[in-house]
Amino acid sequence: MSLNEILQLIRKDKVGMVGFFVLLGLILMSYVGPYVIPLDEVVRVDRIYEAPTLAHPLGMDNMGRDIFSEIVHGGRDVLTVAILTGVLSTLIAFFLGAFSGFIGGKIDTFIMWVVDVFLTIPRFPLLLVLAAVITLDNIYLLSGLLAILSWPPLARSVRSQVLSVKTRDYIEAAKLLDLGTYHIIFKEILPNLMGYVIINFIFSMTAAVYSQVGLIFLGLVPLSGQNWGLMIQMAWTRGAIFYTGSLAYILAPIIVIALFQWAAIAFSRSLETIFNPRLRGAS
Amino acid sequence: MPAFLRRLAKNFLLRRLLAMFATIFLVVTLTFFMVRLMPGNPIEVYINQQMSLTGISYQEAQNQAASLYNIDLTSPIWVQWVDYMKKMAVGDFGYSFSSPGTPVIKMIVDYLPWTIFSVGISIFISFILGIFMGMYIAYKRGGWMDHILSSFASITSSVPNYLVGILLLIFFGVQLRIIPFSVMRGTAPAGVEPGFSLEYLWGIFAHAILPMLTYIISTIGGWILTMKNTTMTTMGEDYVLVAKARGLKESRIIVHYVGRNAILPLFTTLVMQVGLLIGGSPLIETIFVYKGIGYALSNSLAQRDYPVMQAIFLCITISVIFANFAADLLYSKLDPRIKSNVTE
Amino acid sequence: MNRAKWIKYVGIITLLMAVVLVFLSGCARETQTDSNERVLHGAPGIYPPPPQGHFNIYITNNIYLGIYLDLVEQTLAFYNWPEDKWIPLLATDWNLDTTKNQFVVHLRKGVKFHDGTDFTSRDVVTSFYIPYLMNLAVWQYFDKVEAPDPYTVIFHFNHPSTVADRYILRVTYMVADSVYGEIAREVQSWADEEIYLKGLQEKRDKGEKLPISIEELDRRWNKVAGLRAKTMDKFRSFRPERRIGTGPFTVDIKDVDESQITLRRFAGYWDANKIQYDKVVLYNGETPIITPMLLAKEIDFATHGFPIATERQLKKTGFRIMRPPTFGGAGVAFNHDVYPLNRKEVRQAIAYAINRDEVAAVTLGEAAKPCKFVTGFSDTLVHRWLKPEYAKMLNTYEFDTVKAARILESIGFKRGIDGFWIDDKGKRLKLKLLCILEYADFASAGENVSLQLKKFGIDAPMRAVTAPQFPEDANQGRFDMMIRVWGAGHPHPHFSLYNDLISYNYPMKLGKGMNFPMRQNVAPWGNIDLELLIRSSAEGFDIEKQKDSIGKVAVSLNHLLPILPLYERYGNSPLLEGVRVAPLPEESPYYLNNLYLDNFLVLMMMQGQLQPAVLPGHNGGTR
Repeated sequence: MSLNEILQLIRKDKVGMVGFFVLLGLILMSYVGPYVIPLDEVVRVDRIYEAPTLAHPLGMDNMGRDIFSEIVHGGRDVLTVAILTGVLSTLIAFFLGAFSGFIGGKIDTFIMWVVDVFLTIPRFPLLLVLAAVITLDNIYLLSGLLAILSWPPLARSVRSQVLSVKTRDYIEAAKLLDLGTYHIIFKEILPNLMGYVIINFIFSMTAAVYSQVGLIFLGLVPLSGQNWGLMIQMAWTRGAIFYTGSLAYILAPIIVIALFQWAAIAFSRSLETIFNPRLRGAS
Repeated sequence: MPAFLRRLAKNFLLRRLLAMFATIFLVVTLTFFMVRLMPGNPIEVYINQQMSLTGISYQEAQNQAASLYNIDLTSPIWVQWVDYMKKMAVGDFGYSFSSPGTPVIKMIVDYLPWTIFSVGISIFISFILGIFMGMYIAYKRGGWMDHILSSFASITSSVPNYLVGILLLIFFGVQLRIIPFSVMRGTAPAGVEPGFSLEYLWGIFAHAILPMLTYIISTIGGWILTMKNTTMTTMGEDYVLVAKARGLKESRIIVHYVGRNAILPLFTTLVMQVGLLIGGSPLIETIFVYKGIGYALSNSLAQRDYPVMQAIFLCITISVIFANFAADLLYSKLDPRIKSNVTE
Repeated sequence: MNRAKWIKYVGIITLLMAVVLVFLSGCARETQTDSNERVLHGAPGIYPPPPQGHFNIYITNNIYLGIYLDLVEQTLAFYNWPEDKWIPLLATDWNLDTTKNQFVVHLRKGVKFHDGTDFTSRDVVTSFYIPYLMNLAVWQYFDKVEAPDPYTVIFHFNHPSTVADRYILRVTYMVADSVYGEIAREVQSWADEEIYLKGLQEKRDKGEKLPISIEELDRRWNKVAGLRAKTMDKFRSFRPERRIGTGPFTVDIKDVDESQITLRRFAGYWDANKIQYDKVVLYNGETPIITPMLLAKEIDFATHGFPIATERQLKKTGFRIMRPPTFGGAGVAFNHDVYPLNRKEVRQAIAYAINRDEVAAVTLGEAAKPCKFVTGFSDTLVHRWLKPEYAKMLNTYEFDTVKAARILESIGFKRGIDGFWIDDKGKRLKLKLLCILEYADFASAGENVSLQLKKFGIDAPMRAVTAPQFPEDANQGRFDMMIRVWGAGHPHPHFSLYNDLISYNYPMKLGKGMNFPMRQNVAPWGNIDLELLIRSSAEGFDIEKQKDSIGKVAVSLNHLLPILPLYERYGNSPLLEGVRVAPLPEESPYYLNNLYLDNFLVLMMMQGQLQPAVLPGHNGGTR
């Protein structure tokens, strides 16, 4: 498939295109924005929960600070964790899933058993314990932890994908040629699953956003600084949701997160049509 | 030959059961240590509470706690573990720490049915609605319904469910005031004798509506999107094209050729979800004051009531493992390729 | 495409939606089952529903009624805080005999329990011996409670104290002998022996001569311990069916579910004509669960702490905000193991660098009053408890960053090029601020202090942890600074000072905590032992002597600042007038009673001042 074709397909799928641009915009805002818009740290007692104005498009928070600047500064950590977790968990899942599916036998059984155990350990106390034992106050640790917790389901579905690819003729041929496990997995099987990989990377990114916000909301991750999840948490304990004047305080982070998730999924859908030709014929 | 096959099947089942048992054992052990590693223990929680409430000294609070809690937290943890495992083996869950005299099993029996009831119904409704909507937009791809439903689905599946619950409460309960949630809190109508009376059944359903609505809204998006994908994939399969070429009735193709095969992969997810959701949702059930297992879990967590927490985690573990098992069985039963292999 | 088919699906969906709506309207009808009953809707906080929840009020997980407990079970008296006066309830009068070390109480006649039995001295004795079994603090002061006649009770002091009266008259609730009598008898059968032996043990620890041999002491001690354990075992799983009290309302376990508790009027109440309500419905739940119910005007009064945003919306909805004091609030505590926080100049500089008015304004708005005198107890107690010679020694630490900077410079600290302070050892100041995440006011106070210190040039990032984890981190000293409570809900400053300096500190024996040394050299008194002073500040009947102890501790706290009180929390309790409750008077001394301990609403209810609202077309007060 040529680049031209891909561009054409993206252009055809308007929703996907909007998603792509929203995604790009949010990433730009989160990584470049902080250098353009300074974080408002001035406490203004007389301007608590002030309504939005042109200068402060999202109004003021519980200490009279500009909410918009907090949104701009709150994205970087969330997105970094999402991307890191997505990369890590997709890598682990693909490596173990493909390996397990391709090798089969006892190793396969064992890996799948580990997946089962992972899926059945109650998340909540596990996170509580981990949060108490290792202080999860930096985003790299958090990403690592989220990745370790989120690879199993993906590994399982990769395994079944591999199982179905394994029986295809060209793999059989490669096996007959004795090209070696490594070669077959990485050179023959993986390229065929590339679309699947990218789409799942996006999914695990959105899942990471969902779960990290949940963790922060429950107070299991004592992060400090600016962070959309922390904003939701703070706004929630401060009762922002109940006061019409402070709705922007809690809805703004919720909406940017929802926007990010929506954009990611919309974009992944249009990627799906690119990698899966069958989807194209259907409409 | 048939005897050999049967033995093999038995053997497979046996192996599977053994693996399941091993998983349960491992997870139960892990949770045993996990809950004890959590910061704070029931006695400490009580002592801190008493000191801040009554301003008494630590010594006094400890005296009180010692007479109040007849529990052993001082012997080596592995001794406690052996003791716990022995009791578990004969189905003895012990007594709640913070409510001495209340058997844990009684609490589970009291709380679990409400979660199964509310979560069960919502999974069912969400699944049915989701697959219909997903199929519909797969056929109407690019139409306005597609855009609306897909966007709705991706947004609702990205907003955490407790926020969905709170927004429902604020919007319908406080702003519009069409939900009388002061009477809808709880699980059963006050003052109505439990039983198979219409009034009671009506009551418990009405009380479950808000949590159910929350579950449905936050899970339906996933079904819609997945169903849309699998439907579109199936629509391109050869046998569907062949069926079309043969001039079969469209409704027949939709139901028997596309629908059936598109739903298949969703069934396993459905069964897995049923397994996972036995745990209920601590946050949702707390928001709506719904007396399910999640509500019990969040309360026992706050008090570090180990036996109750462990029993709840055990329920979750067992249901997840059996759901997994059921999903595997179901998959081999439902997959037409496997089936056709058997019949041919 | 088969259009008819899709129409069918859409039809099914619409039908389902319709069913949901019908159900909803069905529920709506439930509310309209209106009679002429006069009902009050309250919110006591969070309680455990059955099966864990139960009515043995001495055992954990009993069904908590909050301030409304006074409507079911009563105490001997009620307390008027601003006027320092007692309001007799189940006792008609009492007197303290300092020569005989006795406290004599005369009981009201004609009072009946919910089960029809008479309230007599027997019930009072029972009500005090169960707390003995539970090792409750009330027994710190006396060694015997006896009933010479049905309407007189005598308390014999062994550790005389002016704070004992509150424990006797207000802290201990009167329960029925018909319910707890059997257990109380059992406790009485060994309590005297145990108290006697405890006295001997104390002598033994001091190395005094004993009237009996040590072997006999141990033997008798073991016997008593066995008896105590036996009684305790029985009591732990004791589950009374009903909660029998003398109050104007009854409660049955059948009326308790996870959503609400219904209290019903008790016809035989001794002061029945004052009670204007037939039912009190109490809704379960923490602040975020109760808030939507308040906003929908389903609850008339709540004592939860509400954040600023919620308070504003409540006002907008038409609630009147009541502000009774709590006698405590949030403060910054310092870890004395961390350099340079163990230098008092640094703590004083920090005190000058924090604008307490701003902290109060952003945390709770009008419900937070910035601490003026910095004594460790409520500013309202200062004039009553601090002699002028102590009061004039207090520093009020008015916000002054120039002064703060001067103090730091005077001990060799310098500002770095980035504007942050560098200590005399050349290290840039970075102090982690620990606080509780879930408490909106504490988290806001922490965030604000962190911002203010950053502006002043001290990097103080906030570390917010969940409530169950906080005490552990605090007691183990895993913090540089922390936002914690100061003060206590008691009219005597002893309890506040105890809480300020002993809890989260090493004398508590839970860990090093703040590790603030209790032996200090304070001008002009020289070496003093703060722990000893605090413990003696409530002893005996000599108030003047107590005031000296309190004065010394308060001034030491003010100068040394192991903890810097930021603001005192007042209630922001929403009261809904005109729906189920008729408007209350503009002013009342009762509004200055402690929010949780002698709440004005229950007091006014019992005195007949709480009237149902009369709405057109209704006889009663429900909607």
